[in-house]
Amino acid sequence: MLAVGDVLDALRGARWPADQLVPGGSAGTHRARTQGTSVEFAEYRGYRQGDDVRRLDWKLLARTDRAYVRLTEDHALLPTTVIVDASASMAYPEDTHAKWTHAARVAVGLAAVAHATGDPVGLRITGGRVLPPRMRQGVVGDIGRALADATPAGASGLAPLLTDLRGRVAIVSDFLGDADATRSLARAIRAQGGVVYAVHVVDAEELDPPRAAALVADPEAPAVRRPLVLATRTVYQQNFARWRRALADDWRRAGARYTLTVSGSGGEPAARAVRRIVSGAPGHWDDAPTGVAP
Amino acid sequence: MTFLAPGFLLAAAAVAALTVGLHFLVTRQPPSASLPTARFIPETSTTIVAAARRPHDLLLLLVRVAVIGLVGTAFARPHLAPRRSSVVRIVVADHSRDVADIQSVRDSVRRLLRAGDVLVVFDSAAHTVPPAQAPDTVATLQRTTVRGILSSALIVARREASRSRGRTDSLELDLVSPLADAELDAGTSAIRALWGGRIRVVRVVTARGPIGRPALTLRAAPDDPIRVAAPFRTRAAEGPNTVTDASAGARAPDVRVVRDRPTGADSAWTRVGGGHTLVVWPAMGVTASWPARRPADTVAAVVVFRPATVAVVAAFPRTWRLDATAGARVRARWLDGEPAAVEHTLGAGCVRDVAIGVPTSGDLVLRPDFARLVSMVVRPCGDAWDPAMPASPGDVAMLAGEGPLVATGSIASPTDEDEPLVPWLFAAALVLLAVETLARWGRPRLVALPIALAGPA
Repeated sequence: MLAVGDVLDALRGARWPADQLVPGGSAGTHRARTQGTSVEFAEYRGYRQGDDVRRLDWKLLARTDRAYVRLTEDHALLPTTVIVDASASMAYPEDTHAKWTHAARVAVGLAAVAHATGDPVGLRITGGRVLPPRMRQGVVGDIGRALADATPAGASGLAPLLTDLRGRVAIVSDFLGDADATRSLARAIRAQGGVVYAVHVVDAEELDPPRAAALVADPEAPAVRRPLVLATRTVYQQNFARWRRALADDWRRAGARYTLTVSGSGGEPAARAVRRIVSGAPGHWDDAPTGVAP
Repeated sequence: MTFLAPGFLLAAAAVAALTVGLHFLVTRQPPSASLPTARFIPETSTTIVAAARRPHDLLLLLVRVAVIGLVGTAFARPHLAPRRSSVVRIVVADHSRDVADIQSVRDSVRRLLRAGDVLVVFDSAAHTVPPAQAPDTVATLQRTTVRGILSSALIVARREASRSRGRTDSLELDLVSPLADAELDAGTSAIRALWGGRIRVVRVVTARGPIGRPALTLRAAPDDPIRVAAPFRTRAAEGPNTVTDASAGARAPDVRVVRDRPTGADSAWTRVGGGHTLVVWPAMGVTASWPARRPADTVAAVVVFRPATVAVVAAFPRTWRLDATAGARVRARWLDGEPAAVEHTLGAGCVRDVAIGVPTSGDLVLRPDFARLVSMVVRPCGDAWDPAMPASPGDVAMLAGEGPLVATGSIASPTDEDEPLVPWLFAAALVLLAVETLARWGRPRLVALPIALAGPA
């Protein structure tokens, strides 16, 4: 059972405003790129041939004998879809699955904040359920239950879930799968005016693995078996840190908002991670050279 | 059983301990675990070395330890020592010409030699008598006609000491010899120093020279200072310029000493005579046929070293320069090494040129050392006529030495010591090595990885 009550309580009152003009559409809370249909006055502009005569301010024409058009600001909804990676690599550590739990709690938190902002919220789980964005009251609960029912397994990719998406997309994953294909589709969403958030979930034991010698295997690729011993541990940490830096750079170049969050012992609470994500504040994990908290 | 190189036993024990320790190390895979980021670990061998509670491959371990033990024991050179006695005597018996009475040597050796002792006999050469032949050798020991060389006897005794070190605790060296001065040479003291303990010296009577004495003739001026020298003092006069040794034996070759220029008759006498010796010893003022030294100088001492070493320190005038080449034998040298007396063969006899100037004033000719020098110079040519002179008390004391007997532990082991066990040990090691190879056949190969791989930080 996924416990998200504390996360929802900690995020009460939090909002997730769009940091750019959203495409026009149903009336919502975010400023839209379109103008002229709402009642919120913005400014006057001289009439130009082709303007809708219904938007003429007749009273002003009568007083000044000059034709002006009344301009208003439009506000629109921003449909938000949270995509959660439920591949086998998220089921780590094997005993606690802290990485998956943290990812699920962050996903619920993001959905709650988006819903509180007035946006429709949906969920897509790799190899699992798909909940289209809805605005109804119990959608966050539905998302929580869907995540609670999911079990991380297999090696399903993220890329198939990013097709036909618009609006705001938050990808919660460890990006150990098809990161390149996912990034390519995210770049397409950006090109259509959407917003993409890449939430990178890393467990603390991945940053600082146990020091006892072990022959470790990749759960998504059992053929990859490597000895994690004293001599290889430092090299591993250096390689992993180098990969994380490259991953962050790639996402940022693709126009996404990249955020690293750490689960497990010594990690950060899910609610704090959500607040960082929606506010765009950098995390103290983002620039750690070897993955060890500074 | 004793070991000649026990250090190899310690080395073998260390190697065996290392082998046992290695058998406690096993190669295994570490416990498996899951790590999604395993791809960032560099690819290395998936096995590590870890310590086990019990040694693996016990049979292999035993065989390997046995091989190491056998090889180490073989290199340690085990020696099966016979029953040890407390003291072994090495009796060195002299039967050279310097022995006056060989029976006294036989008696002394019989008194000293016991069962298990070593007998070494020597004259100019030394050799060891096998123990079984020692009694017969002593009974039939004969005096030889060659000079004894003590250094060679001491060297052989030293070698016998090395061979005997495994069967005794102490060694006693008994030297039965007249200890003539001529038996010692320049290396004797150094060779004696190699023997770390005292030597029991049993001295027998020294032979006083060959039978008979030479007929000695001196042709010199009436006031020649040589006339007062010892060999001529008791001889009857034969005219104003000649004295002859009245006691000369018939078997000895004649010696003619001329203090003036030698004549053709002298040369003929020397050439055709039976071993005649012509001593050309010009008096001061006589013109000799040798190259003159210009300018003449004075030298402080002259040394005669054959047949015995006699040094005379005096202000000798040096007038001539002798040629020591062309087969000449040097009998005496000046202090700076230049020949002072040389001799060379002439027909059946020999001519001895003596360039030692004898001053006409002073008491030099009356001194005993000069008298000895004269007696050496006027001896007949050939070693047979060199008299056997007893060694000085200092030399005898040097030979006898002081201190305890020689402990066998201080003597180096011989290189040819019999070690019958060594080849058998090596053979057994080879056999076990083959067994080890067969036992290892088909077993997983031990992979040596750094121990640090397995240990926690």
